[in-house]
Amino acid sequence: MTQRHHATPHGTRAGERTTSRRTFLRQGVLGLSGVLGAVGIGYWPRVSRAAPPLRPPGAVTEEAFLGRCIKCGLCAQSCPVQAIRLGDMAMGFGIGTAHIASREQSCGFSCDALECVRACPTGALRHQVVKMPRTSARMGLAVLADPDACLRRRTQPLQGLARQAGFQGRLRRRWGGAWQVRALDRTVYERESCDLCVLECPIPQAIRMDSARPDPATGRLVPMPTVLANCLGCGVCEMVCPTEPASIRIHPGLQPDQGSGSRT
Amino acid sequence: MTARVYPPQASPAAIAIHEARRQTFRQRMKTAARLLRTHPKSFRLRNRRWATILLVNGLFGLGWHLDWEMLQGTFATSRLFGVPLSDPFAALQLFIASRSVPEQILLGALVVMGFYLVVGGRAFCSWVCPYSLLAEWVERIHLHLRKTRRIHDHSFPVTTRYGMTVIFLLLSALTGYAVFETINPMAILNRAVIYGPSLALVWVVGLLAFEAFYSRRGWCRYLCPLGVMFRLLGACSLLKVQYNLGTCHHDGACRQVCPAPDALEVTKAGHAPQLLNRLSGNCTSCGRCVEVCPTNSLNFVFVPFAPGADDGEIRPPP
Repeated sequence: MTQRHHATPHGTRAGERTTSRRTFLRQGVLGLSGVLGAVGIGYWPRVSRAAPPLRPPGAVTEEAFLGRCIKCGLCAQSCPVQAIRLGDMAMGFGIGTAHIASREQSCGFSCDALECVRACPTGALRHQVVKMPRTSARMGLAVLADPDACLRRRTQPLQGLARQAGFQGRLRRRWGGAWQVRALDRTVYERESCDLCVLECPIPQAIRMDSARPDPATGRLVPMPTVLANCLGCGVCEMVCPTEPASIRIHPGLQPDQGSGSRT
Repeated sequence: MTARVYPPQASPAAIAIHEARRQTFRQRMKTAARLLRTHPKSFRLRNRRWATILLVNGLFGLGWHLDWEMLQGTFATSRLFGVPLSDPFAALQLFIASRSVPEQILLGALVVMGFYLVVGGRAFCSWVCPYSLLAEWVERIHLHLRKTRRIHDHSFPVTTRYGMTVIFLLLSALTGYAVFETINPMAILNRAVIYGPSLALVWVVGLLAFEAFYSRRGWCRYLCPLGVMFRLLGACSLLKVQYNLGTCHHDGACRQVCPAPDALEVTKAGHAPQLLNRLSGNCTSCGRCVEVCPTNSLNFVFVPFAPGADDGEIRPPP
């Protein structure tokens, strides 16, 4: 603070001045610590060991993403199926950052031009992936997280809607030569044995339905979906999975050579 | 009567006025009181300002809901007819946290800074920031509680927000995150307007409660680092409020309505160094003082064509 260079019209006594200065300092310290305490909320996800969120295609690593994403929502506004949401306070430093809840609305790479990546002004979604093979924009991998619940494994049919009536999720596809966005609850399925994850997967060679695979627990041969190395983690399988919760889920950031993604 | 010390840059004409007024204090106060009673209440600028805040924020919301191409994004970064706009403090944090300078963000921040360099730095605070509108409404609760003597106002050193700015930039460097954006009530409200309510609004309500019951306009006056960015721009902005010492009665009506802590120190008796003084960058250009002044001693001026001088960064007595 610069030196006071003018007179006070109504001067204060020296004693008062020191008291008020002390109060000022105390309040300044109090205010700063209060605000810094609020900042501590940023570390909540780390303290609570929350699973990392699924980021849009082409995202840099989670740590870098938290610093890079400016929370502008331009990606969310460019997405034709509005899969991208902005985080809330529970995401700590990720508040306002772009993420995808596949179970509610999957990305599905439905625009195919990676509109979100093109819209990103900061490079949190790497712009170069637009011109690279789609696997460079991988968000994660689908994993059969709950094999016991899988309808196919229990050889159960699927008659009717994939999810409950009124479910808001959409699929954007070429239907009859034209791109269309269609609500999932408008499609009635008639499958003798559930294979929606394979049926609706928009990525070629990303998932396959095996008629007989050894059950990891019992060793018996059972039918089961197998995720292949082409999977981009687009999340359509998670969205359409009729079991509650989804038997197949996206693991953010997983690559085919790591973890159990390609073998489950 | 003892001799009074005036600012070193005070002009002889200003000193003459100050000296003459010391002799006629009582009479001036009577005149001032009469003028204040008869001054018509005007809220024209304030209403326009509120309308501007609602319009700008509403446009962002509409842009999302109606899927406009011409306006996309949030205050952090948006595109208006393809022109990038960025919050300068968020941009600065991003540069530091990610140790990179994305050109779109840099360009956006420069466009925004250029704009507020023209219309007045903290004009953002009064004319655009959604938090300031809520804070202004909550300020009425604070003033009512104070009038009925249920609370006291607590002020902080005005340097606190400079401390906040430095601390948050340091935190960005240390953690690699844009830490201030985690708690930025302006951004939280902006996202709530566009994408719907969020849990983070609890923090905003907490801040408003702090302002209502503890410190009048506490966040905007003493804490917000975004205000500091715009305040620095405001020091050399082209549109400013100018104070005319010659016509002023020092009744203090302007200081009672001013949302900034010390922008109007210059209007106190004995403080103005010149006959015409432009307010410092703390001024948010809200125009309340212009409306309430009974003698029209405060006016908006376009600096290149205004004859006055800057107020010499007058600070309150410690």
